[in-house]
Amino acid sequence: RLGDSRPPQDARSDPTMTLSREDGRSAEQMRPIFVKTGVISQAAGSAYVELDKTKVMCGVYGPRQGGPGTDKVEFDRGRLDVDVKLATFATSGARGKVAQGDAEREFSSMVHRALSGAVMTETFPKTTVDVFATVLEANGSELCATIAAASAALCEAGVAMRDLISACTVTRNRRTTTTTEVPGGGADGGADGGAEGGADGPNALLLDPARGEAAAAEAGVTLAYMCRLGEASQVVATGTWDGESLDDAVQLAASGCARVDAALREALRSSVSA
Amino acid sequence: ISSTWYWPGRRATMEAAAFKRLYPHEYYAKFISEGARPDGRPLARARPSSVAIGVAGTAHGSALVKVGRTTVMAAVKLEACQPDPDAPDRGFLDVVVEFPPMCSASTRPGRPNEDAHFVARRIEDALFDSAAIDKRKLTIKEGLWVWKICLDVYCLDHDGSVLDAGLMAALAALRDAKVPHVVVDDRGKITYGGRKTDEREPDEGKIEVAAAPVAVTTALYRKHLIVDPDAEEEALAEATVTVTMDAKGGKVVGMHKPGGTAEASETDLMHCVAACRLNLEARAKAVDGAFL
Repeated sequence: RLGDSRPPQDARSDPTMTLSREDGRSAEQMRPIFVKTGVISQAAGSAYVELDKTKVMCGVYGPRQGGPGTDKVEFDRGRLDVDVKLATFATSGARGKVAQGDAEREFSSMVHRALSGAVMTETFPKTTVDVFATVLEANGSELCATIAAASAALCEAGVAMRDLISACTVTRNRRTTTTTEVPGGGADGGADGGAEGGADGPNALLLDPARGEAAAAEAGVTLAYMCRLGEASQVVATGTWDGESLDDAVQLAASGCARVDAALREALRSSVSA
Repeated sequence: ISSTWYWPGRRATMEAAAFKRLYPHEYYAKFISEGARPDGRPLARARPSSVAIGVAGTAHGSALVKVGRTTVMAAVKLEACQPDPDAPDRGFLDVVVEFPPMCSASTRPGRPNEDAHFVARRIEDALFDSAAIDKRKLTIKEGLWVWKICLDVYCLDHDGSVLDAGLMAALAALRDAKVPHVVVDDRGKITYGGRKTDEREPDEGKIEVAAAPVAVTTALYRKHLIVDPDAEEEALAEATVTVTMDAKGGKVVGMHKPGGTAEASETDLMHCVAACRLNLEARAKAVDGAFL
């Protein structure tokens, strides 16, 4: 299972060989996660997720009759429709356009593929479950926050799923002068999660990149993972990777997913017992 | 919870939820005839509201408003741009209202919501007609640079009376907005965050908001006036009337009755104005409270 082969957090994040990032995190540290369900009264299920400053809200409607363009109904399974919008004020700088077009469509289809692995569409044949999300503030890992919000919202809506889906991104960034390294006694090259010495110089694998880190990354991998089942529903890697570093990155992402999964379960549990 | 409902002329018992689904008007009329509404409010009572500011870190100003369960978020971004040659000393205010598909069961992606444009124009009207925003106060350098206020209002949860909540959110976001410091040199080039001529000058100024317009929507249903309808009530209503008043001064700055199947008599309209006056202070206080 992914994540099992990773040594526990303490051994790896030896403070004497820790990379510090812009916001003071170590390479393997995720930002604080906040999850709240039941935030949209009109929806069957809804959730709000914050990954520090990245904020996403998601509402799930259905099973219900599909919207326009869903005339072709399969008799034995239902449809899962995903639509994600990026708010015009979500990014710093100039106001964005209302309809982002291709970027939103691609984002929506990535979320759709990640969720498809878990949603049991055979439980709502001939009908559609709509997952609508809006990114209210984008500061890195919007895809991960959206998938987490969608998972929680689907769960609250009572849509049958094989497991909760969580997602995490890991990027490979070149160490620059802005990332300071505190050298320590034990020269364990792997202590910060896969430092690579190569012709390009040493690189670092960063978990849950913030906006600036994601923009400066050489390569990245996003993993959508079902933690209890131990199955990945989607892996998207960009940039060039060699086998071992990709494996390290995916392991690191899986450990991040475990954290997201725990936060989702905690929020869902407290909403049920409340 | 199930209760016994009788359909006149036919003895049938069914659960309240099923009755509501099949005969929404009969269900609603049963409450109205008793002077109450399904959520327990009397006909003339508006829902409580709450306001929070500074909710979007990426915008210059922002606010989140809840009126009952209706949730609206507004964000203000300021851009420096060239003024219209016919009006060299006036800035711009661009209001965009969005109903993202997640906000209600009836909004779908790809199909623009008909109400969005209406709500945007009403918010704009309210801000100008009450003189809350004066475009002449938005000049940076006359003829060369003026501020354009980009005001985006997103409805996150549509439970009726979005215009009321949207106007409160717009006002709060405008008051929250921090205008970035800019410097225009002799050649007319503008730079953000330039050197302050006076060290005591604050880094960021504020937009002058000279009035506090408040909107209250009333629905007309079978000769009854229902103040601050929620989404279900709006769907059943025959017409709605929105009255906008300025909390500073108590004057009516706008009244709109966009069509509908019912007519509103003069008395009805006067009652709507009275309903607005009744709720004026509470809503203005909710907005002020966010800034304490």
